[in-house]
Amino acid sequence: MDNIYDWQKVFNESCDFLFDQLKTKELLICSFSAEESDFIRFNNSKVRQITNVVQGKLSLELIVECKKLSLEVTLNNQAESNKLKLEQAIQYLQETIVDLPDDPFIQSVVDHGKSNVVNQGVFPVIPEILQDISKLTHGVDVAGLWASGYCYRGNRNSLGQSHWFVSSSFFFDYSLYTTKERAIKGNYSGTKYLQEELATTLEESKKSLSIMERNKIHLKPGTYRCYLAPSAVVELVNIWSWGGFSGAASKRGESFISDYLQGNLQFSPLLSLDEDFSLGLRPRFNELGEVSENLLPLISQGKVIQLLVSTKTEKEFGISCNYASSAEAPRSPCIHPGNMPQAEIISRLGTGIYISNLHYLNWSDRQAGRITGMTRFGCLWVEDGKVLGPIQDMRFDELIPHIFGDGLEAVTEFTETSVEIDTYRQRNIGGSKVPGLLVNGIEFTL
Amino acid sequence: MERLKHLLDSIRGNCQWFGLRRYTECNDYHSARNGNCDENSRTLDQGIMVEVLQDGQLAYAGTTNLTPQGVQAAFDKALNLAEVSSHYKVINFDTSIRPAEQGIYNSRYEQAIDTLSPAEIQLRLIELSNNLKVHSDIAETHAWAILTQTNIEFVSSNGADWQQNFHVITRNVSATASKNGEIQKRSLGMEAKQWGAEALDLTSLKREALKVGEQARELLYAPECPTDQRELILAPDQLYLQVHESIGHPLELDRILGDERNYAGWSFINPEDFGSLRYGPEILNVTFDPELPGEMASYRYDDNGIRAHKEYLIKDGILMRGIGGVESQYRSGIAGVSCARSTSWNRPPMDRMGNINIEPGESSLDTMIASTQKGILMRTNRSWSIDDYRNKFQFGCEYGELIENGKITGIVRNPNYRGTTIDFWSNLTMVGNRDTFEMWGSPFCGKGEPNQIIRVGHAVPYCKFSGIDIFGGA
Repeated sequence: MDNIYDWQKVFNESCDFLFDQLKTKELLICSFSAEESDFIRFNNSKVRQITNVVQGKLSLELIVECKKLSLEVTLNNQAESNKLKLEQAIQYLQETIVDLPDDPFIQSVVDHGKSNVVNQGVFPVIPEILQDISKLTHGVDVAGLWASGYCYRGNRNSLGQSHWFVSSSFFFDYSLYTTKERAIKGNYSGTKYLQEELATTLEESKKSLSIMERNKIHLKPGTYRCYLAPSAVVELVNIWSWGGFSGAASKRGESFISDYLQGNLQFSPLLSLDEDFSLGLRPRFNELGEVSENLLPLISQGKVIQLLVSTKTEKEFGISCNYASSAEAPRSPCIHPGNMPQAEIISRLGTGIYISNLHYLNWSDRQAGRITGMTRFGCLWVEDGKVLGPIQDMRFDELIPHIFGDGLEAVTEFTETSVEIDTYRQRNIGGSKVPGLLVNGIEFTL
Repeated sequence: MERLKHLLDSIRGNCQWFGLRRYTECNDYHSARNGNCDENSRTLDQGIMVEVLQDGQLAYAGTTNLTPQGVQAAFDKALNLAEVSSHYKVINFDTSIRPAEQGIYNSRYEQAIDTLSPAEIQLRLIELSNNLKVHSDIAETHAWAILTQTNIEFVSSNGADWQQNFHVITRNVSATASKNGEIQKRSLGMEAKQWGAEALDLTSLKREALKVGEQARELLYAPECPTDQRELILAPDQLYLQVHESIGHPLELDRILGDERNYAGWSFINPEDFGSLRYGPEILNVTFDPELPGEMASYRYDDNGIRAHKEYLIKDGILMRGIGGVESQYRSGIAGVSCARSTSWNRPPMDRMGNINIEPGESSLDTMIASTQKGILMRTNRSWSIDDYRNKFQFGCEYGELIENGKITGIVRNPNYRGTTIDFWSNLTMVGNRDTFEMWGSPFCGKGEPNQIIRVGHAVPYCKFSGIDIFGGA
């Protein structure tokens, strides 16, 4: 698939026009995102919905001394219609900002330099992918989403800062079902599509599905030893990221991690977690164009080193910023591998639950770091080092400080990279790299 | 702006049917914290979704290029996608699923949203965040509002021509109290309705803010919620989410048909359950009601262009009808409702909840409390989770009130409860009367691949349940 628009030109022309409209003391930050994406939704290995989306969005943040105001507009490749929108947008900002109260924690606008990263992918045109998926899933019940295309991110400010990032990639996020409504989850994603790789991934999923045909095992509520596969660990990191690494949330008393930052408590020495942009799935610049270090250790051998702190939080609470995004959530989280070989997972689990995936996690007590959620997709009961069969899905309610602290027995020597599959508002970019975890006990309640 | 009908007429190409949906939305977000200005932002979103039916297959192309050339390019793309994917289609659709409705819908409001300037809204929120700080124990206050104005226009090759205009405001205030390591947060709950600037009237909101601040402080000194089994009364600001998760989602026909299996999940409901499954006692009556003025998801047409009417989903406790639009009805043969909606111009419509309500019963809140020997009343959701079949749930609330021998005897913090869907609704013992009936809703219901969020409404009375497992914090 070739890209349709020259989005970098659209972005630069828009910014140049806007910067020309600025008056004395006015500063402007322009944050850009665009996509040209194809989405194919599958059910029963057939096409339920097929959609192409071409969209561009420019967010303008106007700053005048201690006042700020932002506005986002949609853009396309028509210079005239873009110009008309941008004229109205900057006029709205300039007229409206005057009457707004001061923001005491407004960030300084500085030039954070220039960057240009283009990750060029290779993936097939839609007729080919339809043919491949149809052929490779013949006779199996598959539900899922294929997404492919170009994602663009840009940021410029009126002081000269300029960043540009392009990612062209694909993912096929899917699940396979037995006739007994039991499922295995799979994902094939990347930048260079190879039909043989998709075939291998699907074949492995089909093999895993066979064990799901066994009789379902119903467990009673209680505490069980667990192995959490990387795809389950990602879900834990995601919920933890909702305020759990945020400098502002810690200062506001909304996070359990404050005691860990102060050194009163530590996680397991087996746990080391970084914000690591060398993963290459997401740009280092945030929505203000501020550029983070390539590697930010957050937890090292159980000790919390630092939280994610935005420039706004720095201003409000007087703690040093590390150019986090406004959400202060990890954008490229990576957990270090340990020393448990893949071949030993089942034997070291002994008797317990092999958790392949988790679902619908939420804080059940934020201040204590307690979370709840469900097992989902291919979770297995293991007894005396042997896999007996799939479990009836269970609800857990457990402390993050336990799972990653005194409960953590071992970390796998391998890690898995998972590419972002979030498509709210637009196809999002990013990902994470985590290992599997062996935990000596997780409480299941229902 | 080009008239949508003119754009439709300018399209060149042959197909079974096609339609254009232009979606224009202005979202203003304002936030104040601790008596200070925090954030003011506006999002202007506009685009067109071209929908094509060809060879029995529907396909979509969304574009921000609203010129005739841009829309023609999107039409060509959608037509091509329909043609190349028709060999692999789930079902062969025909034009009966796209009737030619014509008309207009305007949501109800007293004062237009744009009569308030951003500065005026911000100053009101600052004042509210000051009101929340009722004591030095209050460490953090927050007041915010999202003001939404949406226009949806739809025209089609067979003569559909309708538009809908919505004024929606979502508002909330919260106070966080802190002392000796204990932290408690209390809020107004996230109130989301179709209303106008009257939603930001300071007189009533200031009273509410004072109450929120005082209750946050009360919670600091309250004992932990006990762990046991007892009667549970749910206030509408919690019950609405219980309805959403354990009645709304499992009744969605696209989930039952398996479309959502890879993301939001399946359903414990089977197609043969409609007309026979007892969901709860006879006092349980649940409706899909797009006609209730002011509720978050009231509308006249869904995004398939089907006229929407009130229907009973659960009548006298029996499951009668699914939450499925015309496409799901065509595929399943199950009775549904007009509920296919999209988050914006850039996503295709799918089965969404709309307004899913519990019809009022006969009990007053006083009667419910007086008839409770050992119970708890829980208010305002703070945590939620349910499995992918919509069975095993767990909810947490902000504020609990213990009930002993027919009287409220004290406040508890960190109240939670858990259960399974049919067991829970089977234990419904009392349904509140119209005096206890409140409209709630959310702008943030997530579902679908590619992902979509949508606005949903839930108008519910207080309800009482027996034998529910409750528990406190860590």
